[in-house]
Amino acid sequence: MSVAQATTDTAVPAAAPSRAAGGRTTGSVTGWARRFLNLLAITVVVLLLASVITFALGAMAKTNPAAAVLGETATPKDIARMNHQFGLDRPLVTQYVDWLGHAVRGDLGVSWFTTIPVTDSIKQALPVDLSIAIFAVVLAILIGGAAGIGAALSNGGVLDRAVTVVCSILGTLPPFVIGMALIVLFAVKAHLLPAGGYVPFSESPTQWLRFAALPSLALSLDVAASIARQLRTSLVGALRENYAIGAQMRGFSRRRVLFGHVLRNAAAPTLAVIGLAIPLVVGGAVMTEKLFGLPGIAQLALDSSEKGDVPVVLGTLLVTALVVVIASLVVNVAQTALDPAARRTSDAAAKGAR
Amino acid sequence: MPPQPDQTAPTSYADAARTLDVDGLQVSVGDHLVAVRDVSFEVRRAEAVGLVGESGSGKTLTCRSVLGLLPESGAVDAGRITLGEGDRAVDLTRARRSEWDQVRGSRIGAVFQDPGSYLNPSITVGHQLVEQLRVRGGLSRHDARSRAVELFGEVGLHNAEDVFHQYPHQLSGGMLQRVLIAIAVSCEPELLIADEATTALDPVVQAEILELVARLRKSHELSLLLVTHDLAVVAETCDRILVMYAGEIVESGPTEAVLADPQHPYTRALLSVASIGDWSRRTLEVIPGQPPSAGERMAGCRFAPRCRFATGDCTAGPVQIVEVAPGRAARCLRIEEIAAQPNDARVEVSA
Amino acid sequence: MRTLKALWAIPSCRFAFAVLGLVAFLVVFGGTLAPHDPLKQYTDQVLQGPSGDHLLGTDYVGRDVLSRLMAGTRLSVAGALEAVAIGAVLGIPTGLLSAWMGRIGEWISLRVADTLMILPFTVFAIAVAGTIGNGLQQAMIAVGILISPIFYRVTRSVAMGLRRTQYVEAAELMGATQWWTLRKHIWSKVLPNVAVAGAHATGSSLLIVASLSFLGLGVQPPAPTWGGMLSSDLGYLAQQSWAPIFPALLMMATVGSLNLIADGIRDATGQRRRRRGLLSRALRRGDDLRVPPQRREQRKESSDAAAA
Repeated sequence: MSVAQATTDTAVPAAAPSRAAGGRTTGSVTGWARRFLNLLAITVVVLLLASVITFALGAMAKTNPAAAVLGETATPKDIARMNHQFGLDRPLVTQYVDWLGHAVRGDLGVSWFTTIPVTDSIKQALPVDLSIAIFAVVLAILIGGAAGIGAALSNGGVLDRAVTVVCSILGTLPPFVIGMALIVLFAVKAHLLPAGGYVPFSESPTQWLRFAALPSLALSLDVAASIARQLRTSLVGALRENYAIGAQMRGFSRRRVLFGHVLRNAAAPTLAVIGLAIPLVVGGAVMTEKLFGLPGIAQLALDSSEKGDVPVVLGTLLVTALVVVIASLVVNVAQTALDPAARRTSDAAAKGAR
Repeated sequence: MPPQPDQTAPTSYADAARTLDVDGLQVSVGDHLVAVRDVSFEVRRAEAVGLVGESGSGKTLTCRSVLGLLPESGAVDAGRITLGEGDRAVDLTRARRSEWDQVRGSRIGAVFQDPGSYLNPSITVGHQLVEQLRVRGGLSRHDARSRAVELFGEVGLHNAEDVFHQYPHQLSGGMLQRVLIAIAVSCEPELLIADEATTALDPVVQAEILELVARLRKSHELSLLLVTHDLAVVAETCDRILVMYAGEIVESGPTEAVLADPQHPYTRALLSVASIGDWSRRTLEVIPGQPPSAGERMAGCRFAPRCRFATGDCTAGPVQIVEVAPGRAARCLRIEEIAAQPNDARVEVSA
Repeated sequence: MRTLKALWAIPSCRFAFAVLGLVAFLVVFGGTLAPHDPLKQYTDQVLQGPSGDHLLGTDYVGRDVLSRLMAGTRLSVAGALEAVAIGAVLGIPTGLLSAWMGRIGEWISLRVADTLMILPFTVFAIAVAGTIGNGLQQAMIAVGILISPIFYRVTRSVAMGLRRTQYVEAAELMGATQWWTLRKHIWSKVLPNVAVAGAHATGSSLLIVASLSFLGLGVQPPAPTWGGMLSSDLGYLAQQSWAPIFPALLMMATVGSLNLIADGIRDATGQRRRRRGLLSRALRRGDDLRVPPQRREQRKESSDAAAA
C-alpha cells in the first residue's frame, strides 16, 4: 500500500495515504483496545458488585451456624465458638475481603451442616444446569432462527402470522407451564420421553439426550420466541436494503441472498437478544430442574435455603452470576465479530499489525 | 431547420444482433396505476441507448422491469421483454426466479446510483467480486481470486490488491462505482444497464466513469442501456436516445439527430432548458405546469396540457408514436405544423 | 385522561381493559364470592373433573379449583403489584437523577443496573429466602429490586434525551431551579414511558411471582395462588393433565392484556420503539404529547405493518 502508486485521487483507497502514514492504524488499535478494556472494566465491576450483593445477603442472614446446626439447644457459648470457627465475629469488611479472596481462588467455604466444601457441591450440580442451558440455547437458536427466517420470507403470509401469534402466546406464559404442557404431550400422552430424571452427559450421551430433551425444549421456547421476533424484524428490514437487491441483481439464488448476505447482517441484533436472554435461561434452568427433578443447582440451593445453610446459598448465587457474566461476554464478543462497523476497526488493526 | 435525413444515417447498429427487445411494455404500480405504457425499443449489440426523462417519467421502472426488480407493488401488465436473439432468446416477462438467476449477473449487468448501498457492508469488495465470478462465472476459487484482481485493475482501480481487502465503507463513491462495474461486467454480460450511475458523483469522477463504460463497451462488445436525467451524459455516451415523458416514449432516434433537431415539443423544451442550465430539479420551471402524476388517466397526448401547440385533436384520443424519418420516431400529431414555425417559436413553449 | 380515551378507542385495548377489570374484581371480591372455601378439603371428591358442584373440578386433596382460582387472584396480583411498586420506587428516581449525576455517578449507577440485570430472578429469590427468610414480603422485595433496572433505564433514557433539548436548557439558563425543571418539563415525558414499562413489568412480575410460588418461595401453601395451583397440579399430570389449563389461561389473559395495553399506550402517546423517534417528536411538539387523529391512524398502520 504505497502512496507512490496513487496516481489519481479517485482510484485509490480513500484511507490509503493516512493508513500508510500510520495515523489511522494506531487510532484503530487504540479504539479496539479501548473497547476491549471498557468491556473488561464493566465485567470486573459487575462481578464485584454481584459479590457485594451476595455477601450483603449473607451478612443480613438471621441464621447463624450455631443456631442452624445445634438448634434450640445451643448455648451462647456454643454460638460464640461456632461464630469464631466460621470467622463471623470479625468486622464485616474483613469478612468480605477474606471471603472474596477465597472465592477468587475457588474456595467458597464449607457447608455449615455437612462441612462439605461448597465448591465441591456446586461442581457436582453445575454441569446439569450448564448442559441443559447450553442445549436449550442451541435449540432456541435453531427453532427461533427457523421460525424467524420462515416468517420473514412469508412476510405477511400465513406462516408469518402463525409465528407472531405463537410468539405472543409464549410470552404470556411462565416457562414452567410450557414445561408442563410438554410433559403432558411427550411423556404422559405419547410416552416418548421420560418426564423426569437425569443421566450425566459424560456417562451416556444418548441417555443424557433422552432426559435432557424435554427440559431443554421447555427452556428454549421462550428464548426461541424472542429470537424469532427479532430475527424476523431485522430480516424484513435487511431484505429491503439495496445490498439485498444488489445480490439478487447479480443472479444469486434466493438461498444465497438470504444465507450468504442478509442473515449475516441481521444476526447482530439477534445476538443481542440472546445476550439479554441469558439470565432468563439460567434462571429458567433452575425452574426446569425442579419441574423435571434434575439434581442441579436449584436442588442444591433450595435444599440449603430451607435449612439456612448460608455458605451454600451464597455460593450458588455467586456462581450463577459468574456463569451469566461469562456467557454474556461470549455473546458480546460474537456480536463484535459480526458487527460490520466493529469489524472495520479490528480489520484495520489486523492490517496494521501485518 | 427541417429534418435532415443524412444526420440519422450513421446507425451502423441496425444490422447488428438484437440484445434487448422491449415491445409494448406496460407497468403498473400500486392499485393498477399505469406508470409506464406502450414502451417499445431495442438495443443492438454494442450499441449504447440512452433513456432520458424527468424523475417520475417511468424510466427507472422501465429499466427495473428489464432486470425483474420492480418494487413489491409493481407489475408488468402487458408487453414483452426479450433478451438476445435466436437460440439465446429469453422472454423475461415470463421468466421464473431460476431463469432470472441465469440471466441476471451473467447476461445482464447493472449499476445504480449510490453504489455503496448495493454492496454488502460486511463483506470485502474483493470477496463480493469473487463470489460473483465463482457463482455465476463458474471459476475456481483460485482463478476467481486472480481474475478479480485483474478486473479491478481493468476498471481503473489502482492498488487492486489493496482494494480487494477493503470493505465498502472504506472506499469513495467513484471507487465503489468502479467496483460495481467490475462486478457487473465480470461474467461477460451482453447488456449493461446503468441507472443514474453517475448522478451522485462529482463531475470529474463522472467523466472518468463514463469513459470507463465507453472503453468497456468497446472491449467487451457490450450493449448499454443508460438511464439518466442528464442530456449531456447521453450526448456524450449514447448512439441513440429515447425520451420519456409521463410513462411514455415521446421521441426516439440517433442522439445527434435528436439533439440537433428535436421533433416532439417536450424534447424541444427539454433541450432549451438543458442549454439554460441544470434541470435536474423535479419540475421544470421553464415548462409551465407539471407532468401528470403516474397513472393519471388522460385520453390523448400526455404533454398536451403543457404544450403551446396542442389542439383539440391532441386530447381527443391516444396519440401513436410514428416514424418521422428513417430511424426516428415521435409521439406527436402536429410535427409538421410545428416544423413550419420559425426556430425561436419552436423552442419556446410557454403560452 | 386523554390517553385513556385514546386507549379505549383501540379495540384490543378495550378487550384488555375488560379482562383486567375482571381480574381487579376478583382481587377485591374473589375470596368472598368463591362458591366454596378455597381451603376446605372435600376428601371424598379428590381430583374430580368439572361438575355442577365443582365447576372446574377439584384438586388432589379435594379443594374446589374455581374457588381457589378466585381467592388466589388477590395474592397473585397483589404480590406482582408490590414488586412492581418497589421496582418503580427504586428505579425511577435513580433513573432521573442519573442524568444529572455526573459521569462517575452515572457510570456506577449503570453498572449497578447491569449487575441487577444479570442476576437470575429464581436464584436470587432462593438466596434471599435462604438468608433473610422465606415469605411473601422477602420474595417481592427481591423481585422488586431485580425489576428496578427496567424503570431505571426507561426513565434515564427519556431524561437524558430531554436534558439535551433546548427548552430544558433554556429553563436552566433562565434560572429555574433544577427541581422545577425536573418536575415541570420532564415528568410529562417520563410518565407515558414509565406507564409502558410498568405494564410490561407487571406482566413479567406476575409470571415471576408464579414461578417463585412454583419453587415454593413467597406465598406459602395452603394459601391459594395461581403459581401454587400450577405447582400442585404438576404432581398429578398423569391423572389430570388438563388441570393446569385454568390457572394458565387466567394468567395468559392477564399478562396478555397488560402487554396489549402497553402497546396501546405506546401508540396512543406516540412513542416510538426507537429513542430517536421519541426525541425528535418531543423536540418538535414541546409539552404536548397528543397526536392528531389522522397521524395516529398512520402510525397505527405503520406499527401494524411492522408487527404483521
